[in-house]
Amino acid sequence: MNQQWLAAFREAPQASVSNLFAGRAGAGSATRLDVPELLRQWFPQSMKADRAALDDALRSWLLEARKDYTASIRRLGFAAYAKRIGDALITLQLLDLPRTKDAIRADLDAWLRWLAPLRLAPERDPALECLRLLTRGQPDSRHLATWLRIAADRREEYLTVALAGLEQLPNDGDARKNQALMVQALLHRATTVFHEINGARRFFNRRFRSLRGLFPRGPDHWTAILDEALVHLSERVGSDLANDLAESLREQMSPNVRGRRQQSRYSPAPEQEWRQLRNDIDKVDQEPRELAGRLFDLLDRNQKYALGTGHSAPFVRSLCNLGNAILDRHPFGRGQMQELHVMIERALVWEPGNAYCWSLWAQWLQVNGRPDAQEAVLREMLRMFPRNLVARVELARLILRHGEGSWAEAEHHLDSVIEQDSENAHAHAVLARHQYSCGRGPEAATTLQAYLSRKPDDQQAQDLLDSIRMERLPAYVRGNSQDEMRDAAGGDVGDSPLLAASTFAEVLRRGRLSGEFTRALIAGQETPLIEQQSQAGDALAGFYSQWLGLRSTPEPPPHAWAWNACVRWQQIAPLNAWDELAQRFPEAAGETNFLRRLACQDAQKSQSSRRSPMVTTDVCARPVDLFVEQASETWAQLVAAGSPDQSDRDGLACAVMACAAAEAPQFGANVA
Amino acid sequence: MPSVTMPPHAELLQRSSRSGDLVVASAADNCRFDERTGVDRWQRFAELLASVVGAAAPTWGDWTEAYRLHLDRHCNVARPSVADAFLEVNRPAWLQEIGDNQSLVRVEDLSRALDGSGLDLEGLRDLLRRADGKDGDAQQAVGIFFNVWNERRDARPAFAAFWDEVQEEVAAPDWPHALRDRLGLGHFGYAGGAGQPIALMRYSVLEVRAAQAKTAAGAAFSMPTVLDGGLHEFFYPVPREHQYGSTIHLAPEQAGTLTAEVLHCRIDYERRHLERVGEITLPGGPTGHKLREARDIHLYALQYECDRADFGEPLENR
Repeated sequence: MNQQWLAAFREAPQASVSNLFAGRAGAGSATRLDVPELLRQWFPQSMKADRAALDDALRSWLLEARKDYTASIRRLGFAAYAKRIGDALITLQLLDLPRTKDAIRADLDAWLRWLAPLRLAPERDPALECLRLLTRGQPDSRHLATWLRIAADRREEYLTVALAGLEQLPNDGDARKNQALMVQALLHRATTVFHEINGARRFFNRRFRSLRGLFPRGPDHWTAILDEALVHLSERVGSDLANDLAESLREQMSPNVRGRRQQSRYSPAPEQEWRQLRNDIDKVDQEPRELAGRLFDLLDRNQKYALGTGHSAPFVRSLCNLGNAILDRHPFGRGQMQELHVMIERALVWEPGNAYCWSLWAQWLQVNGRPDAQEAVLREMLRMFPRNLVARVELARLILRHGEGSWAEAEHHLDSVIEQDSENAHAHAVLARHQYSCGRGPEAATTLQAYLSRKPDDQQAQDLLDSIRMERLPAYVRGNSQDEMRDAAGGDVGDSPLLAASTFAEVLRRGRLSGEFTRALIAGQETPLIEQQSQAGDALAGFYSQWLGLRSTPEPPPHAWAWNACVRWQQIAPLNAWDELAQRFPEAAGETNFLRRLACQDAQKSQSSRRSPMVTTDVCARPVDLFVEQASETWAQLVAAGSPDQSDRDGLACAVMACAAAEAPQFGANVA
Repeated sequence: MPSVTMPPHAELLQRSSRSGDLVVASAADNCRFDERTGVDRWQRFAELLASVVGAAAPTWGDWTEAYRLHLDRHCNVARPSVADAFLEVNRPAWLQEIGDNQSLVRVEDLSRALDGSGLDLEGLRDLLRRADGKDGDAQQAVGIFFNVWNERRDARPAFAAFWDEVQEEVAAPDWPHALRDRLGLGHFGYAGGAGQPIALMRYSVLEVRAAQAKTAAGAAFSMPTVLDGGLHEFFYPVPREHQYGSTIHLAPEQAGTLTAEVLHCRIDYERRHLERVGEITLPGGPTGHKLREARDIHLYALQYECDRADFGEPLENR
């Protein structure tokens, strides 16, 4: 032990830790070891007080390193910076220090946002080390969905951490639950990462045997777990690959076990009950309190099913379907509204990439009179789901309230919707009303006439047009009927704190960034937030800054995909530069491949190399996979219609990059 | 071929070599006496040092800070980067003539590997026992253990010795400590510290060459230099006439034993490379006069072996 260093540490823990990472703690054999291995030896379990001080000092050091990002990168470069951050996190793992771990757990999304772009390799990936740290000492099931999600990441090392996370979930002494979830995670991965049965089966069998090796039990034990997992797999994934895999794995089971299928330990609420509730919600004379009781009871059972099996679809689907109908038709009281928000948040924990959950959240915010929050949610939705036209119209309608300064942006969104869907009644109506209310009556009439030429039977549009022509349209109220519904609910919950405070702050931040970006694109407005946050290495702000060509844009961090992709796009990089990007970002294969095709100047040739990403709709869903699928269709149509121009390419590329520039936010609520 | 030169700031090193702190004096000596580091490598280091101190005259603290930065950037590199040791910049220290038909031995720190796989040392032993007893499931689990371990290892140069030279220590009942001392691994085992789980790895020269062929490395082997992690008291550079590096035996009475040591590029570990696992629980590295004695005896042995009385400088009487 370096007694000199230890004495200094006891005097000034943070400065000593800082010196150690910087190499100023003196030479000596310590230089032969990495900091984590060194500190693991220097701080045995018996040094309780020193370990606690080390825990706090490491946390302070990490926070300082984040704050000092720009200067540190300039001084150290990405390689050394990422290594030291990773080493600090590994130290926390090897010494199993609890306090920093708890602090990270409470604010995971913010930590990952800083750490993820710093990845250099599997062994130098601070975000992965952060997740690995959280596998230990989990107090509840809040990370369950995260483990299942990263189990389907193409990077093998993420599977390793996912399995460790599932193994360490609290289980009340029953490890079978963890084993079942691990098997479920392997099936998730097999059906997400692989495209054909042989690869999927080979992968699964190898990993399944490894689990049996680590947890030796009798064959019946594992066969029952597998059998149950296969039932859930069939319920969860309807793909041919999943069905083939399930069938193939069942054939492998010994015949005497195959016949003895056990009753599953978990089951979702019966579909019949769900349908009945939906019917009752649709009736106007139902008592809201009674409906709420039935709804929450059903959701509770589906949530328990998700926790036991990792299969979130019944919970999320039932919530989105029933919650949507409830908000449309029945005014809930304050307590029930808050309970519904808890459920929405839990659904977002499970499936942060699910557009229906986001729509429901936006709807809840609207009903509860939180227009600022609703705007941020809608903006984040549009980043992740650029083709969600309902959200785009809603955002336009909402920002029209801000006054003249926002009209250009609102009109931009409405024009964009009409361009994509020339028969969109809502977009035409909102645009016409807006044009009329700001004294552009003839323009409003033209908007509606264009629409009616395609939809002559739309009586509502015709009535609106008549009112405009006769100048009988009442002053445009930039609100809607649900504002009244909120009043009827017996007081709104507009001032109550939103439960996912830190995540919500992130959604607000992204909303502001995205608004700034849009306004800069269409009106050349200033971008102070983008500039400030790109300097701090934020991947989304960095992409926006790079796309806008701001002079202050710093060098992209090594693992910010969209930012790096944007540099290549702007440089009109050769095709092998895209191959290099694909190698560096195996988890972003679909989007990289799409940009590669888009960058290919020979449009016909770009079609021939098309390969669709695997699109899933569950806990592993990535919004960008869905959007790449949609964008590929658009591209194919443009190519078929003739030679697409550069603005077509730029539009699609920008939307794909923005969509992939940041993962869906990680909601950190306790789902247990 | 890049030429060999003196390190920058010779006066700082000279002054530091007179430090009352033997660790500092030893580390400074390692820089002063290294005869294998090329001019380009020292130049790169000098630039890092300048980035740390700016125009001011560097202190020993600045030197160690620049050294850490050098390690983080150019030595302990992430895959698929190649450490300086195997790049053209280090050609003066490359070892090209190592015969293929030899086995190498290396002691690996297992703490990160165990942490990554959720096993402790006993759990790993049990798993290995079952796998070796033909339990197919355990064999798969062992395979995954090695995958996970490899995932967590970077591409830093590996210090290794030759199997045939250390068989006595390997066969010793207390092989972890015997081998630790013979190979000069003073960073394993601290008084009052936590036990250190280790693995004894054995693999062939040919396997290292095969691994090198898949990378951008210019060489598979090189001579250990001070810039490859040798800024500590249990490393001593060797005269240019010496064929390989040489470990310092941690027991002063055996410090005259020179054991050949090389650096090689990363290989992926497999089950067959793992000879055994163990734990280091006793403090290892000598301190105070024992350290001085061990380094000086080691130096005399090197001088004698290479017929270079002018090489190095004993710590005694400074």
